[in-house]
Amino acid sequence: MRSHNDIIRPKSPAGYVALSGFLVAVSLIFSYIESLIPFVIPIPGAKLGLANLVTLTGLFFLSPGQVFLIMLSRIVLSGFLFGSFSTIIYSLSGGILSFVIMLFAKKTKILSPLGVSILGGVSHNMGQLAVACFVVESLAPTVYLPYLVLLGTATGCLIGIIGRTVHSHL
Amino acid sequence: MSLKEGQNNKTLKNDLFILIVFLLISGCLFIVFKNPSRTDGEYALITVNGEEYARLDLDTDTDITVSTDKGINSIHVSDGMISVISADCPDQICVNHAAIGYDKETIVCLPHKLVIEICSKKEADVDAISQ
Repeated sequence: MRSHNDIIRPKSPAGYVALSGFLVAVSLIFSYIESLIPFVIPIPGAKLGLANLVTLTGLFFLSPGQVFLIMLSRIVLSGFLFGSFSTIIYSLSGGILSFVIMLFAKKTKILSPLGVSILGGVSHNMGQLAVACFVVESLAPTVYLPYLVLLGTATGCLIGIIGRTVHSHL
Repeated sequence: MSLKEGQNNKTLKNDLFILIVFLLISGCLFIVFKNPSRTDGEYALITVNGEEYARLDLDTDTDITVSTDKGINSIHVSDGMISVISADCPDQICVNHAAIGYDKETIVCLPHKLVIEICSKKEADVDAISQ
């Protein structure tokens, strides 16, 4: 039984590193599973965001700094393992934006992981879209905006339902 | 359960509110971004790195290969539609994209910084003046 705001603070640096490493490994497995799922929607940046489950759940139990480090490590490592340099840039922009939005959403305390996850999913796609526009030096990618908002809501909702269930059982 | 039942219901209500708001926003965006006229495009503008690479007339069937330092995209025009036949980009999103031919439709190949945009003649005049 843990109250809503309890944050796990490891007693030693080793405990901190061990927990972080474990969670990075878990999110890398999620990234790997996701890379196996053929998700052929002809929209750049459309993906399930399974690994976001770790960030989402972490926000409710760990210090924001630790969650941020876990997310950064996951993005860089999964980028080198399953993607390319450009996927790292897109994931980083989306990841950092959604992290900030989700952190603020969580701090308001009026949302459960479901609402936080929807906000995160949409902001992740918006961050990627912004970088995509920047990369091709054109506003052409904004034609995908409606699809990306809808997909962000849908995937955020899915991950959020899982996150909410995980949250209530931890 | 870590959340008390009352708090649980309250946060769920807020969650559903967020969900509905974003569904509405995406619905509005679909309406705003939808091209109601569905007018046939006149030509396809291919840009690489934000700079014009080629203009292809959609009425003449052609095949061109756009090769840049990033990679190669083979582009095919037939029956007023343009599509990417093959590309050596990692995600293959441009190849999987359906052929386009209506005004303002777009195919983007992000890894190669390549954008194919369908334009109609009117737009080009406005562009030329504004430039």
